Amino acid sequence: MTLLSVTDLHVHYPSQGASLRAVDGVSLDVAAGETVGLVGESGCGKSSLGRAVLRLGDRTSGRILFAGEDFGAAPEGRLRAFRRRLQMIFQDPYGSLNPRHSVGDILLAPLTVHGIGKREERRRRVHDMLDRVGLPRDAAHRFPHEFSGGQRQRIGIARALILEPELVVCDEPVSALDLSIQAQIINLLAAMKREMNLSLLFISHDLSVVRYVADRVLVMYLGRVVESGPHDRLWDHPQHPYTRALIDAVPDPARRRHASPLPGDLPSARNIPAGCRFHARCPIATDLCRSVDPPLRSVAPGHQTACHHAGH
Amino acid sequence: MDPLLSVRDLSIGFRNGAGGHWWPVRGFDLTVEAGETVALVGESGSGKSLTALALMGLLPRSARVEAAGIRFAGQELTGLPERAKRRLRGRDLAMIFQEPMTSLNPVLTIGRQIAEVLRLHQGLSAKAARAQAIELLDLVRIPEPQRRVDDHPHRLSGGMRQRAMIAMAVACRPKLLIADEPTTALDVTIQAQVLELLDRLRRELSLALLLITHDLGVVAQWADRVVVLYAGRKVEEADAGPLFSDPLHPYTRGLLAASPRMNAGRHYRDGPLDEIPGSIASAAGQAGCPFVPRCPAAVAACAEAMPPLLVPAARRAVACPVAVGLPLPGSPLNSPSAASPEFHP
Repeated sequence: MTLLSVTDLHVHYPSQGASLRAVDGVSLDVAAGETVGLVGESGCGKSSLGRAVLRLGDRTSGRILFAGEDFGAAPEGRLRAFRRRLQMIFQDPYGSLNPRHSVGDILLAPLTVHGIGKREERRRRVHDMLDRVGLPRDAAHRFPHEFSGGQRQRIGIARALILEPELVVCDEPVSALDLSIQAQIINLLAAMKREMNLSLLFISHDLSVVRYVADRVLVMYLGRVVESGPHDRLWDHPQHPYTRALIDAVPDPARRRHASPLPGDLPSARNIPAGCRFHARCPIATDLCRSVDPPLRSVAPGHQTACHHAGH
Repeated sequence: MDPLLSVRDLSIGFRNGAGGHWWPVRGFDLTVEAGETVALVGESGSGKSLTALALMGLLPRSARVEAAGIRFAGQELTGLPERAKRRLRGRDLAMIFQEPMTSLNPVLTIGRQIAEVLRLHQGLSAKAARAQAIELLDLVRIPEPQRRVDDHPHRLSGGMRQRAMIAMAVACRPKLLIADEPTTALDVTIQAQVLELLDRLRRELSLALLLITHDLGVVAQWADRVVVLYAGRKVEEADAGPLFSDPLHPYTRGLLAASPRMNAGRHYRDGPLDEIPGSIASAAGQAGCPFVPRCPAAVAACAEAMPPLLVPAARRAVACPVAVGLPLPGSPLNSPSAASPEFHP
């Protein structure tokens, strides 16, 4: 069952007299219980997309259906009912936790806002959630600055999950954490997803992390999805030259002292190249690529790519 | 032949407010041979960046740096007058940072900044320095160097700024380049470009590279030798191949097992990643080995004294008797059920 369905989403920002097309026509589905990974480099629009999907950020156009209802067109007054079912986990939990509120208050707030339970019931749910994310109960009386980065991310996760949402957008949730803590948080997210039957939209620049956590993966480049597919197919049979370059750029012990990195810089979303937006850095670009923007097309069941030369 | 750099028994301390000092780096030894790449690996709080800053003389005056000896390029640095140390540091020893704007001045053109280094250390004329700055920009593959030389840093992309900083660092042909998390802030495709560039410079300018990073993938791909730090202590050292195929220290083993990158192909549906419980914060005030609170192999003796570095094979060292099969007295400290229960919901 499709839980979230986004069609032709655009996020454009006015910038220096021009239009910065951060998200430039993206469609995606997330099924119930599925983890969709969204990878790409900085400026590709992945975070703008994640926020727009939750209506936390700007959206220029595009349809957003949640559980069959038109979330994208819902009036402000009706958003609260949706918000309970859609939550977000941020990269920097410290920046998103009010330093003047105790952890207990931070976790109580969503319950109070949504009028869930009586006092006793709310307290019970806060304690229960602390247990589940692996924090001691006395954490409720302490403040965010008293915790390490990994524990703060546990607080961020607890806050996102206390309303028992159906979909959680995770924006770089482990990127700021030390390696020895990353695995703890990844495992926690996977366990909570299983226990609560969550759907996750997992945004990350780290291919290795996405490879582990995602059932299906979308690769973004300059505001567009250039390839999408089931996780195993995407890593083993990437079709888009950009996906291949991303995979090759992941440092690999098997390739000692050898790299053939993609040339050039990321172009600006203020000035998107004509034709295929990847052509200037692409090792196999032809005249066709310089003039015609390739649409996403199917190359195998569930596997799509936006490259004129894929599969040839 | 002497190694290029040899550091013996380095400790770095800061006043702790109670009249004493706390020592974020303790008893650290390091050697770097000419032309090799040595990686210093550790998470935040391991002391890896402090060590680099101490070598560069960039720590604040309040820091206490103690060492039995620091020999660089045949010269003993400890006890050398500040002027002589400074001259050596600008010329033979250079450093680049994670954030290029740490070392680039935003109000000067990049050409001016590179030329300044050359005029100061090599006494070049303004004209000759500018010509050489253009050559250096070309060496680090900045396109159109004749035009870029007059750009201010903000006109360059993040990757290009990193290159400009590298050009400035290698301007005087240093013998050792210290790179502190040089690619952490960069996107993966740009990361690969910068690492490839650093390795090319290592070969073409025959410099040695001290690569400070938390990224095990980068280490495995680019380093000859690896030093693993934990809470200010060296816990393991080995050539890159053996370290990754046969890690010895429980911390190194734990890190490799926990890394999605080192376990490519694993998927959450097949089971959880291995975890190191707790956090590095638990090392504070820990007697003996700092890894004790998180270590699956710790026994009572581990908490009494820091184990010495043992040499189980040529070019290998590990600060853990248990890892090399030496029995230690005392019962296990962290049996699986007792290890930090709050982290295993």
